Amino acid sequence: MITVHLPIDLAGQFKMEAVLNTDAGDLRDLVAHLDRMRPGMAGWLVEADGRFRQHLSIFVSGRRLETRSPASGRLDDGADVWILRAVSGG
Amino acid sequence: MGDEHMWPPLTSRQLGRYQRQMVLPGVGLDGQRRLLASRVLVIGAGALGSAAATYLAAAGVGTLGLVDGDTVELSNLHRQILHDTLDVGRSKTASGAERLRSLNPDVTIVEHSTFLSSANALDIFRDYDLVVNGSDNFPARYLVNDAAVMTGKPLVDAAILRFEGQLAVFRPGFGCYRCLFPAPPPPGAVPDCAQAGVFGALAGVMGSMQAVEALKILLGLAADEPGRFMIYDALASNWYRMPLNRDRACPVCGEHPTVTALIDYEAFCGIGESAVPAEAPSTRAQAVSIAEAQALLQDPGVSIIDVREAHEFAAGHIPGATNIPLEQLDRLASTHDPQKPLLVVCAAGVRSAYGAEYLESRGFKAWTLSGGFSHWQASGQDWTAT
Repeated sequence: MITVHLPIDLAGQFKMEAVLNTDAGDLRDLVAHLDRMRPGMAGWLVEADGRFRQHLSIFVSGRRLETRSPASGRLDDGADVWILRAVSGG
Repeated sequence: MGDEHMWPPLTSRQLGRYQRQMVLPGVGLDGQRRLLASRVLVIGAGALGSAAATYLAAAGVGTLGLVDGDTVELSNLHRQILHDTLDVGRSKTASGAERLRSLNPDVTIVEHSTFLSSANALDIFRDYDLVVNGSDNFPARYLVNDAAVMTGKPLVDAAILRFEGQLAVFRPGFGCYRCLFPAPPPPGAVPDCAQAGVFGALAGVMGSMQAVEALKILLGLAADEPGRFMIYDALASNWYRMPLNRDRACPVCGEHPTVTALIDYEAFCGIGESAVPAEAPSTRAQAVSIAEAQALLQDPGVSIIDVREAHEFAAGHIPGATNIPLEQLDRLASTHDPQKPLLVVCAAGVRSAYGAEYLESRGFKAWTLSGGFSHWQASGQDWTAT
């Protein structure tokens, strides 16, 4: 089982929980799963070339992926995935 | 803060004032002297800056600089605790300085009653040991980061929205804001506090955490820790902590920096007259200008789909538009004739770009209105409210 943490404001925009569980085996499955739950969400996360959008910071089990990593890496059972984007309120 | 021999001796009154702080392991008499010799710059005398500056002043940080070009507004008061009702209309630095001087006369408050800019940031930063960032917009956040890297200052950064806070500690050599967020979100993709709201007490939590982290750095506590990034979910009452590492390819603090002087941050963030239009999102949907949209709408077969929330739509929309919030677009995909083209609209052209891309992927011809309804409205086109 994978735990996914979405940007809170994005989850709110799509009327969904910000923390979800899924059995996705890799990041591609994960994005597809999210897109099935909320059609159109994949476009918010991934560019047309299959890489995560530049303004997102993705952490998988405590390790930050390089900027614009391909949304395809393997996810081990128990992985914790954070999809973060900056907020600016002060 | 200079060398130890530069730290001021404590008066008997100060011994009494800071007694319960000085008994802490790692603080002591010398730690307090060190704080009194320290100089901290607080960017923004708003929500975060209020809480951070209050605790830094109370702790006896010798010099606090406040940077803010704004005046106090009534809508600030639920979270900006440096100011009160009688301060509405005053400059935030004047109001904040008065409060902080009253709190602790040991502290010298320097008022920088101006907005931080690429022209003044380096000069202002040079006079301080550490920077606390409580700014409220992306251009300022990238400016503060870059100026901190270029002047070699530790930066304690925080940001808040709704019920969530983000906090990052950047020590020179251990990464910077751009290592975490190399690019800002597309303009309009992330709402600000005015649009999305902010829980007032959350600012107190995050600003106080900034003071904690700043004081730790000034006192040399936990000095072996590299940078760190934390997220606070006030609704779930959870803190999450992420590792933060320097990105060797970072354009500012990496091994081969390409940004070596302060830049136009409004343009970098896709805001303002000098911004590159439609810098992001780079979707497959075709963006159209208002003139192009008007030409498209001459064809009665073209439908206008407004993907904003119902309350946004109710406040104003293009006549004839249908409101289908983003998360319900799949409903349209299953009921609308794909032969009929769509003009997709939102507030600023970001959500509509994603929405139009989604509809294109489902076999529709869909355009996104560049600049969104706000641009439509600002250019004097007809609009209506419900």
